[in-house]
Amino acid sequence: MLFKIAGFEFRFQLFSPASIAIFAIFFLLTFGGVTIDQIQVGGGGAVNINSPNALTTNILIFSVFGAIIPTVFLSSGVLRDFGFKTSELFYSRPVREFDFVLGRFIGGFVITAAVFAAVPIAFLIGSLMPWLDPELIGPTVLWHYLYLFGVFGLVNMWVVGTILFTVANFTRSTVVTYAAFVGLLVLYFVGLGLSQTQPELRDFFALIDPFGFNTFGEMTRYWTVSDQNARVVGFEGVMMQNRLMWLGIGFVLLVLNVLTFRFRRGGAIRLGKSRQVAAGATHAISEIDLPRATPRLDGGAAFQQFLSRLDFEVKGVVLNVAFWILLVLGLLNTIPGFFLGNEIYGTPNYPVTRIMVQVIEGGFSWLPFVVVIYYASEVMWRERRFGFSYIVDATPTPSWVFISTKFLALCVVIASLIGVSLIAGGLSQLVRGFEHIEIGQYAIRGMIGMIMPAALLAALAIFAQVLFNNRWLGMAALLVYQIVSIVMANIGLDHNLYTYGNAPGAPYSDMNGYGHFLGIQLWFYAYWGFWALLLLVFSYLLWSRGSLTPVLKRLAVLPRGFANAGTGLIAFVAVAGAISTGGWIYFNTNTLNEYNSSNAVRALQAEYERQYIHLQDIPQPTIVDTAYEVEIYPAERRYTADGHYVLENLTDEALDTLWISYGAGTTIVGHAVEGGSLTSEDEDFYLYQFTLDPPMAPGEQRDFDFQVERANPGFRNSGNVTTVNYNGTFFNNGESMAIIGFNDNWRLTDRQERRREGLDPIDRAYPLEDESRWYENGITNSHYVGFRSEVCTSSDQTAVAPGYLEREWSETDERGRERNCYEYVMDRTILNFYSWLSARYDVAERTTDGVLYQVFYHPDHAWNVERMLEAGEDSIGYFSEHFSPFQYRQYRILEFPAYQTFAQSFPNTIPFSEGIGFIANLTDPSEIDYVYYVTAHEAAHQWWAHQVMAANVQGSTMLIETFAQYSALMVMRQEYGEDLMRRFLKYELDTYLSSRGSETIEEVPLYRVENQPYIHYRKGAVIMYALADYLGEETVNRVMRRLIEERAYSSAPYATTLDFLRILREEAGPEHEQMIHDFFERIVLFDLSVTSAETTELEDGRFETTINVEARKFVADGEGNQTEEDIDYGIDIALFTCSPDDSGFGSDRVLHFQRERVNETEMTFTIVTDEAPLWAGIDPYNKLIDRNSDDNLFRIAPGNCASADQSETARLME
Amino acid sequence: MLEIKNLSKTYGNGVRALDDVSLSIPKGMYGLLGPNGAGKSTLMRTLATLQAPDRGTATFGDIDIIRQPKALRATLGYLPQDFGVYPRMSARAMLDHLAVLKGITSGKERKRVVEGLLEQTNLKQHANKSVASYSGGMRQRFGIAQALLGDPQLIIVDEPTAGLDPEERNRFHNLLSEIGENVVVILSTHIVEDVADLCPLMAIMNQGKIVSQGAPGDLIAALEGKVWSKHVAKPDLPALRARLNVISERLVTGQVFVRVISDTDPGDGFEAATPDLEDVYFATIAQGRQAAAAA
Repeated sequence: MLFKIAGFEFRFQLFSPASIAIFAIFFLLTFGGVTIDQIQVGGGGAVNINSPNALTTNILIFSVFGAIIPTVFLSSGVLRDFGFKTSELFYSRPVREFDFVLGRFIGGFVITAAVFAAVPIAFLIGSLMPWLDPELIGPTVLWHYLYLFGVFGLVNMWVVGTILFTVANFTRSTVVTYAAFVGLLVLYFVGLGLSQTQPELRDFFALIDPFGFNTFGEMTRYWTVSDQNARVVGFEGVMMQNRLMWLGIGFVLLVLNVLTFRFRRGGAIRLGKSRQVAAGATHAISEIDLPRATPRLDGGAAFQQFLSRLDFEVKGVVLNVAFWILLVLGLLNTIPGFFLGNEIYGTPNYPVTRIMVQVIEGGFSWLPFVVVIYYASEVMWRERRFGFSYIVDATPTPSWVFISTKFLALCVVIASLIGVSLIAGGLSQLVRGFEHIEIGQYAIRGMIGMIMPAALLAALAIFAQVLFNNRWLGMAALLVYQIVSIVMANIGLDHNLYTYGNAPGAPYSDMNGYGHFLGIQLWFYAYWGFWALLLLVFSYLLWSRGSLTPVLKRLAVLPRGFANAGTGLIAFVAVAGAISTGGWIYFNTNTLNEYNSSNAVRALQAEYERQYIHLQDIPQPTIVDTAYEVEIYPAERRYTADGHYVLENLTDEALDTLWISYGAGTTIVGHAVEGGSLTSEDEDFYLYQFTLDPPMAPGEQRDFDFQVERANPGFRNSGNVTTVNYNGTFFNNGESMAIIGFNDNWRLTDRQERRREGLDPIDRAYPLEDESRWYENGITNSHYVGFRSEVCTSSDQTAVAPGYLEREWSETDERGRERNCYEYVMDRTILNFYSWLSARYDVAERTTDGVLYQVFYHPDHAWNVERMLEAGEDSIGYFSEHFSPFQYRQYRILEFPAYQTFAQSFPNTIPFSEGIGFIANLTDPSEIDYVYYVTAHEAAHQWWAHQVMAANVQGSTMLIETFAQYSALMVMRQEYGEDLMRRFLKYELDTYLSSRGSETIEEVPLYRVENQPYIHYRKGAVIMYALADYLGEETVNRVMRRLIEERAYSSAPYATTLDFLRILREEAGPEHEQMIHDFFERIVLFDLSVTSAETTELEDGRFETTINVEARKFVADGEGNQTEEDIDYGIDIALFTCSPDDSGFGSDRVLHFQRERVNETEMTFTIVTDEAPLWAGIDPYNKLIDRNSDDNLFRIAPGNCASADQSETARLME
Repeated sequence: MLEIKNLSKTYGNGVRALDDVSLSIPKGMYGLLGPNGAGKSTLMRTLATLQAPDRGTATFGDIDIIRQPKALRATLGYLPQDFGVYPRMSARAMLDHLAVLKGITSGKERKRVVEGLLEQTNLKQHANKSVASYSGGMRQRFGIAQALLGDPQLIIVDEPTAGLDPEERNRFHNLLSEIGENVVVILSTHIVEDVADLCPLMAIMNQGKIVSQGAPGDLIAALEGKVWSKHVAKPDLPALRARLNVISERLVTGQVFVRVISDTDPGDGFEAATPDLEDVYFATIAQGRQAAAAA
């Protein structure tokens, strides 16, 4: 009987439309992901398309979305009989309950497994497709497919399936089951978000993650590319625990279902429905006196019907438990974010409204989509579901009343869902003691940014439901639409004019408010609003009123619908509106601006390279002096510039041609070179050729003058973030100022993209030993130049450029506008890289030791301005004392809008994003003060970049970024003490290790770093800190000092890492040779751990601790393959009374800290201390690059630090 | 009043639900009798503007039902064969809502109509209870109450008495016959007594066709002297069926009571029986069966 039932269930579902459709959807999704480069999941870079890693990621991701599969097939096993009203039929059969429930479960689970098998099958077939890049295809290992399908696919289906089967069985309600499905997903994503903000709970999340995402992440955290291509996650450790635990939980649930299942329960849980009103004393009708009332059928009646119907529809969704569950889920989805999610590197921000809305936007990125699809089917099918449709359909109420009120009911659901979270956002601000609540911003960004797009989608969803006449098909149609639009965007069909409901993004900035973005978005939403109106008109005309009618028949009578004057008029308005707004948009995006899809841009870049690469290294004059007159018009988002260069022929041959490039989008008003004339121009690529006649002799100087404009007319399809804004302009000379020669920025660098365009791969950097490149600047193609600039802006703003303010005046331009003008002059040469800024600023300033420290900030963002000034003083003070004198008399920080989040160091001038420090809440002293750190890092660039510039070879970013990291760490250590540096270092170490797996080409040793941030920032910080620890800060600073003495302002040659290593070896002495070699010239990893430790009390009352350690050293190649080597290092061995991980940790918790020679794999240390230690550690502060930095500490005895608050490791800023 | 001409409807699965149906229905109660699946509900839905026919016309007074559905709906009362209700909604609220949908826009008037109908259908004391909690009879009375909203001139009730106990059915009949005095009421049913008790005119429908129509009395009269009955033993039945036109067989205390149609006395112990409407119905249906078998 059991297997009969299971078999019936299996056959019943196997050929159902649902199983075929879902199989097809998952097959196509996976197949598309594998075979379309643009949407690869889990591969990318040097990781194979069909690597075990990519397969695992596919199975994991699709198993989360595939949770719908068991929802459909397993829960329907117990719900179907109610839906079909066959429950009594089945339940009265002589079938044992045990057989029935288990049989249905087994049948349903087998079909679930069969449908989910679409994912590995599609992956396998996809990976065999001939058009895939053979370089990125690894061997096919069939058991990987079976194994991963089992441990992730089947177990995840099992977990979700048993949970939802239980919900379905106990509630016997489809709605509650689907709500539970959505709830599970929301909870899961909340948990996933949480797990990413709480790194100290990683192990815990890895253990409990029901889908195994965190488990997989934890098991493979430090896998290199070669690991990802060859290995599958073993069934061991936390992976085994997690999978077995969830298998067990599912099994327990199943047993529970089997034991408690009773046929007679049959729907008893439908609350309050069981009681029937007794027929009572109802008598035959004696006499009929029908009340008469003549119906009205005019517009007034229709309006009243509309209101009544709206009330009815809205109540229909609102007076339903599912709606309230949804609201709670929505809140759960955002509220944690209001309190935790806006931290940057563990330090909270002030909860400004901008951030709160951002959290809500993040939380509702996909939920409205699900809600709209579900509710559209719900409201469109409600009358039919309750069997009431014939009654209302036979009333004289016009059809548009039904469709429009259903649409509005959907809008009410969306608006409530988002509105509740917006209100919760405001309340959270109050709870956090922040009173500057911008209600208007909540309302406008909520309405335009979130409710509007969902409402547009609602119109589409209703249309799909009407068109397909089937709620499942209608829902599937929306899903397919979503997939298609993602694919379209990925293959370059990305114009918002044909991507339903899309509008360009509208980032918000406290400085610039809505900027120009709100208007752009409104144009697009107006356009799509007209389309939505048209869809609703079609929905109303095609709607199956009464019996369901095949779509072709309904389409056939469609034209007649427009004969109605009202309908015709509305359709006309919709079409006319869509055409006129669409036309206006097209005019802006494609006529005023140039529209190129992302693919077209790539092709253009490739074309530029093919055509002009021969210009790359041809001898050209060099810029030696610059002067600018810049006019910024913030209200018009426009600037003009007159530039004057002095060019010098620094080559030893006569030059007869000058090539000039400009950044894309520059309007070139004019340009001329002394003794030369324009001979050819390529306006597509902004490239101009001047013939120098007579040719420019070696050593000769000539003037070059140009007039350019950066106009931002209208708006674009995408990329509307411009450098000139109403408030908060920030651009550098790379954008529109003339560039000598080939413009390297146009080149494609990504290997895959190059391959796709048929270009050979290029190296990321010239070899370190290529001496010809030692005479080239690492970041520009000039050397050091003179600089001065006049800059004018509107009368309410301040404009700033590098240099010292020489004059300041007001003038009235030709159109009668008041202008604020400034002239900035550099008194020494600088790199040919500088920026202009303009905004309504407040200024804080102070002068220390002859240096003027200034912060130009948005008046609402005064919180950390003092801290920035202090950090500037401390940093400039330390570097001046230990490295070399500060070359400038001022140090300025300028805030710019949060459209980008970085800080960048120009000579004595540092633009600093409003998003990374100005709103940080530093009031809790235990949090990481990243504002201080970033300021110190940028200050350090005044030395590392602006005094010592690196040559254009491998290792250049080590001299610039790694040394800035080192410098900032030294200032931090001076400010916060050595014992608190651990959390910085551990974070840097973990980031380095986990980033290795994303390496696209090859990991190189630090001294050859090829602009790889995870090496020059992350590994560099750890290595330099260890170097200072092993050699002494003073020794390392002496090396720095000597490097500056040798190479400051040197362009012949520029500095290389070889210079640094030479000086370092001289200063460190031969005893450190091995360490220097390991740190800089090889990729060396350690694996240090305390395997056990034990303390005994001695007779004299002191404590003796025996620590057993294991220490290994590995050398890795560029792919991550490791070879073990003998170890012989001095390594810290320590005893503590508190874990260094604990926020209560400090110097007073250190009982013993001694560097010991470790030259065997297993060693034992015996240490006597006065106090009983609780923790033992080897390299406890994570100074060395340790593959697993979590096992360096060992708990000897329980106890705690009795500290109040938790703090966590912070990522530090570039 | 209601003129139906050549209505045909074939469903996607090939079922001919309406096959060239033509009827002329005057004011008063009109019974549409037929077995399940005869096409009655399709015809009812077509007349209620809920389904478009493939061919044919239907007019009610001046209103072309197919082309002017909205005009018909304004004067239509429809009680579908099987209807559900919304959970948590009282009869009063539901009627009020439907009254608005019917076009009774004045609040005062609506209140009067709703209360009057609740009174007339004897639902007043349960008017604030959820319709979902009603018994079958009460639910049908609610159904007729909503169908009567807005003074309809055409009332279509589809299988209204299915599942009602005799008392409820009786009550329902009284209600219908009172209403049927001034308007067109089409009562579709497969229960012969419903028609016999109520309808001055009727039609019998089978396999999408109108197979017989007229006044019940006339139809019965046509069978006068042609119906014969007898008690037979079960084993004799097949032979009897082969020989005679058996229109009904009823098992009574172990024996089968059969009625046959025959122009002459079939002899063999058959007694003449007084024909009733049921005989008309069975005889008509049996004809259809024979025709189908012959084809």
